[in-house]
Amino acid sequence: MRPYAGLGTMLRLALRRDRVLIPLWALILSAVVAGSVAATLDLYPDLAGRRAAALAADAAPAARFMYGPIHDPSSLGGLATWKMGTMGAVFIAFLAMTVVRRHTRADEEAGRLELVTAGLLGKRATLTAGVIVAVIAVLVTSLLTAVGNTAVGLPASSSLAFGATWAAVGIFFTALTALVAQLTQSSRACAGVVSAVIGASYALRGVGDVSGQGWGRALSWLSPIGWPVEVRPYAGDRWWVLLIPLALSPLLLAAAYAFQDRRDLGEGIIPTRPGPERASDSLSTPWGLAWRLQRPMLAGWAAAVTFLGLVLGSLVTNVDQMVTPQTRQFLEKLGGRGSILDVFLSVEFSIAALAVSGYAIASVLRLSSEEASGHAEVVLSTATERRAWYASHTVIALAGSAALLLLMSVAVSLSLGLQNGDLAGTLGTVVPAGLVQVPGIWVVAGLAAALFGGARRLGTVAWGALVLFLLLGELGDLFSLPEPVMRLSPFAHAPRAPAEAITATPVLGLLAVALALVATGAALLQRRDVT
Amino acid sequence: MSTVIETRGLRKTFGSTVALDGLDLTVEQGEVHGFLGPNGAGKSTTLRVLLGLLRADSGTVRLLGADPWADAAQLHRRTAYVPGDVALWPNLSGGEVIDLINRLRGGLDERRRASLLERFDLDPTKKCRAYSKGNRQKVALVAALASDAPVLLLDEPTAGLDPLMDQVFRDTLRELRAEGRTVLLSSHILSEVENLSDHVTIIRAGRAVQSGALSDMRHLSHTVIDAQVASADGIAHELASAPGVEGLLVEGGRVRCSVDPAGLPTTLGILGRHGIQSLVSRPPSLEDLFLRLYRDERASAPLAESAP
Repeated sequence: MRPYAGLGTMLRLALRRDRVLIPLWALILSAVVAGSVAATLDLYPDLAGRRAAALAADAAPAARFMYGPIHDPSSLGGLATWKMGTMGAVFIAFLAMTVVRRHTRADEEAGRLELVTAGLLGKRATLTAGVIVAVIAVLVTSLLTAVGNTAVGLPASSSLAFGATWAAVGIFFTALTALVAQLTQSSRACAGVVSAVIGASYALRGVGDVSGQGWGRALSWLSPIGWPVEVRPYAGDRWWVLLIPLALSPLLLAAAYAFQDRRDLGEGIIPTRPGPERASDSLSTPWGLAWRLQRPMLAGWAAAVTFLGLVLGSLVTNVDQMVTPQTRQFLEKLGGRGSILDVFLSVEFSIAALAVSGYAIASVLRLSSEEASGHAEVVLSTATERRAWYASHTVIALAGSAALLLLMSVAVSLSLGLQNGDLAGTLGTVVPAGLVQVPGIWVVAGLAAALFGGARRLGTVAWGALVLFLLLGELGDLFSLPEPVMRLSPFAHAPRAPAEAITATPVLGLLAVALALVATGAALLQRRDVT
Repeated sequence: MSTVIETRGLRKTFGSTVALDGLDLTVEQGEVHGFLGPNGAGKSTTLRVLLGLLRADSGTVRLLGADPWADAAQLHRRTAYVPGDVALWPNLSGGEVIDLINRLRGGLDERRRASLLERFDLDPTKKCRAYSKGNRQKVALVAALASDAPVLLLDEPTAGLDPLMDQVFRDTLRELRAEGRTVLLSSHILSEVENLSDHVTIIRAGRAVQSGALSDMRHLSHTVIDAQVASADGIAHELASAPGVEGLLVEGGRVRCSVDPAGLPTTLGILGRHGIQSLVSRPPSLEDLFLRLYRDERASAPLAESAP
């Protein structure tokens, strides 16, 4: 049979399944970028103000770590797209992964491809269809963003370069996901591997961008998320940098096809090892089962936040010498008043809280995927109470997110304390600053749990809420949103420690809300059908 | 003998779809009760209501004398279940799943676990993701059949099993019946239930259309006749106008039809007059019974109901 037989049919099927997902991503991303560009234009109408703001932002290591350097402080586009350039590259990478994965390994695992390939489909048709649809998604989003930026007043050619950086990153991660989907046997493992690469790329670029010159700079060049920064849109438009992803992507894709041609349907290249013949004693309760199911994800996150904590701790030591008065002003706007090191730390922890909220939602929503897959039916047809099943996953999400912040703050303290010689003192300041973010995360986790308790499919709405909280925190000031709207986010209530003192009222308030949400979820679940 | 499962007027809707529409079901202790119906008739929904996973809109449900919605977890200590769509954790081995389910539920018969694994030829060290559909079904079956639960709810338990394994399942179920366990066995495969069940409930569109001991049901129904006659002249016309004759087929001297008990004397008289040479008569298989029931139902049902 011809390897691409049936490609057209698969392509139409994939496009039909993604007819909401892709336009939604493209619209939201491009609108957020265009919106923040327009807001920046309003905020800094003259060159002098813009220059000062750009210099200040660029001098802050934390800001460079998160968003990359600002190459040309007089470039309006540079400042306006500074945050969204890097963040958008990460989003695009996740979009590419999501689309490729759901049309290849996820389908294969669910057995849908067996239905399809039993017909008249060539071996390469489904992978090719997934790749094409992902590339379409990436190109549509990038093009729409370029058009949007031009429409709000930035130069067209540089806007095209900006869009092209996203497109190149998206195509690279499309090809990478295509390859990983051949290697791993489960779609969960595929997502885990690709997400880890995205996270590592982001961190690598961050370290490189903070290092400034020398060998450290090279780290950005090793990172796929670093390439868009190196293109320098609106500050030189170095198009040639895009040759790197555009040269690597075909190689990855060729490898993906080579593996696909050599393996059986449903198999991965990395073989599945046999398991134990009998269950261990720990696998005797719903808690043991939930722990077994959740352990790999928590371990991955633990490794990531520990690494991040060590890196950040090593960065902040020389913050004090590096900052200018403008930077101080800029950081204080983000992190509150206090010593510049404390301000830096409180900014980092509030970002970490958002990231760990992602873990908390994913962990709570394991309930939802367990129910959808039919695993919950197996557990709940045993003597397991619904409450116990619900609690087993929810408590792991709550305890897990607290443990992650504890790990991260200990890692920060270690690398910071070993340099300043006061480990005990550093632990005493940094660990409470990290832990004070936990109640806010628990509110997000509680929201996911309450929504899931109401109806299985409702749980995913929590992701939307998290994105909203993220946008409120990142862009709320820029759009000068009214205070009550900004305070919708639980993270607006968490004390910005260590820069500001920790007060009991907001912490206790957030804890009470979180507990009430978790209890609501349990009560709702008790009353509804399990389907 | 006491009643293990009893539902009266059970009703369950999902949105505008009526899954159960006043279902009556009674299962006595120690019987293997066949629960027959085509796909979509409401068998799985009934089992899920009996397990307390779904809440009935109206009607009463009793399992072992208690309300499964209120006392689900307590009841499950004494109930083993094989879901219709077996989904297992891809990262756990088959052996782990069998142990886990039985530890979460209550007790496990170790000897039977070992012997079932052997008889079903199942490798318990494989990860569930690596099992074929038939092997996943075996994992769920071993988990339920090796339990010490007095009640077993089995939803299409032999789906995906090859004939050899099907036989193992039947043998095991007979052992369980001999031990006095109660089994509710849902199926759309009639021969499966016919061989194993004492009692049968037939369900269609969420309602029980027939229920009782198999022997009683056959008695209610027709006899299938296959005869050879010397002269077939006019026999087709005569039989067609005789009372209680259905499904008439005349080919040369060969006559086939099914006859209800009241019509038998007339039919045999007609056959005799035409010079009967050979006669085979047999009680109807459940298959015949089943098809007849549906034919009747469909004929009497208003047209609108059969529209999608």
